[in-house]
Amino acid sequence: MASSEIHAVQTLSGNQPRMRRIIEEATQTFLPGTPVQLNAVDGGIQAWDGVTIAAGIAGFSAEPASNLTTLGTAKTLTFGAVPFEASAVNIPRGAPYNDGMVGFEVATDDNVFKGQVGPAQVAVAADLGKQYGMTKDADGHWYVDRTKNNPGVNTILIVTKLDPQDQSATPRGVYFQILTPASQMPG
Amino acid sequence: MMVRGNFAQLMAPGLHSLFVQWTDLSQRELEYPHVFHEETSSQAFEDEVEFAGLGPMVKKPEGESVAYVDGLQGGTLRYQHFTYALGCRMSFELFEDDQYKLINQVPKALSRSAIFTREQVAWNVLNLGFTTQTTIDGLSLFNTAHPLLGGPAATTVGPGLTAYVAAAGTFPNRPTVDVDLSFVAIQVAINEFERLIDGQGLPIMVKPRHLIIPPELKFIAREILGSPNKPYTSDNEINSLIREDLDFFICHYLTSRSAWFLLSDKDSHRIKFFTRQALDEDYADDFDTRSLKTIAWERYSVGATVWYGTWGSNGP
Repeated sequence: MASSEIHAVQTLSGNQPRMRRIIEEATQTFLPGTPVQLNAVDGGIQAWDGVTIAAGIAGFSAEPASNLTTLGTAKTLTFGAVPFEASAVNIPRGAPYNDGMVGFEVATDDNVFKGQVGPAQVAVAADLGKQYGMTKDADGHWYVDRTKNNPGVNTILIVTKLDPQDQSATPRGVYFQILTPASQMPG
Repeated sequence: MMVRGNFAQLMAPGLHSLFVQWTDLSQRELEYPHVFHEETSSQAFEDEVEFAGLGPMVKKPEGESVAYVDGLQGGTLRYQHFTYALGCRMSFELFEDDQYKLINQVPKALSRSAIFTREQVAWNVLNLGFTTQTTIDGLSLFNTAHPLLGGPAATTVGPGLTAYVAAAGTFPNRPTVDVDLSFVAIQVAINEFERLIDGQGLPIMVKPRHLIIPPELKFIAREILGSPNKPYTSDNEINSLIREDLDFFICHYLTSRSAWFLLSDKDSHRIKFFTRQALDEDYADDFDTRSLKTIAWERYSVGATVWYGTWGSNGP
């Protein structure tokens, strides 16, 4: 079983979810909906390391990473070579747009995200108000991990609502917010 | 947010006059259309590809087969459009209490911002042309050795290239050592235009027509191009540059005070300005605060597909 992408679905204020788009770290290959963090050295966006609890998460990626060669430098798909022009490139028709940046939905106190609990877990009413951590699923997506439930030690989010669209017998969908101490960009 | 406290003088009548910079100070006419090809786009980006033709014919001995050669495809250059936008907002109390109806003119300032940004982004093609602004060959727009698609053989085809070619298979559109604007420097640049070849080495006709300069060089340009006799000499030689039919254009968005550029007419260069979305604006009232919000935005991209028809010197 897989897990779904995590995205902002509503805000407390009623405004549009806050997004940012800043430079991407090199060699990033994360999926949309991945928790991301700001690199402490250069401020680029990279996938969350999964362990930093205090000020560890900047938000959730709104698009896939581009596997850049160089931090913040646009990388466009190319093929072959150009005769005698070593610096020239062939760009295949329709090669994806890239500008060296990646967008993400910010882990503000206002943004509410929708995700799922783990593939072997079930979301229940008792989860409301509980703090949990997150774990990366085998399919590359991340899920709310009910087994990481030790506040201050391995939790980064608080469940605020069960997903009303998830009507399965073993529902997994939850709405949650990133805890203020866990966010790199809470304001 | 613009609020009454920041514009207290507008709250009471009696001011003799208001000097409003965004309406009382004239803005320059658009300068980039003088140089840039203006095109439109309906996509997220536009890709352009270069092709080279064939080399010179070869003698065919009687009874032998004709020699067959191939045309060449060059690289691709992508024009990737970016969005430029700005907004302002003001409290409805400020809007209502303004005794001079000045605040409702603030959105006009957005169009000035847009015009400046357009110019700045466009002219950065030249400003950055010695460094990061690259053309389809992957090198800076102004370069001492643009590689030719035909390779080293190309520079053995065109006549009289020895003095200009720094390395076999390349052609410059920038002096090896940057030079100040001068009578001789223009002559050298014109000579390079005269000897210009295509990717296979065949001579081409590209004439420089426009000398693009920062304001600081206008007096020198006027003297060099306007003098009836050869400037800066006591001899009675004619000014040989007059017959070159060059005009000079003062660009107020060039960052260097000493860089200068020679450009051909638009039919021979490919410096482009793609408009994806022309300047548009919108406004709305915030439901809760009743604040007034105005935004303006546009989308465009700029660049130079190829270096042909351009020449630049970054001063000394």
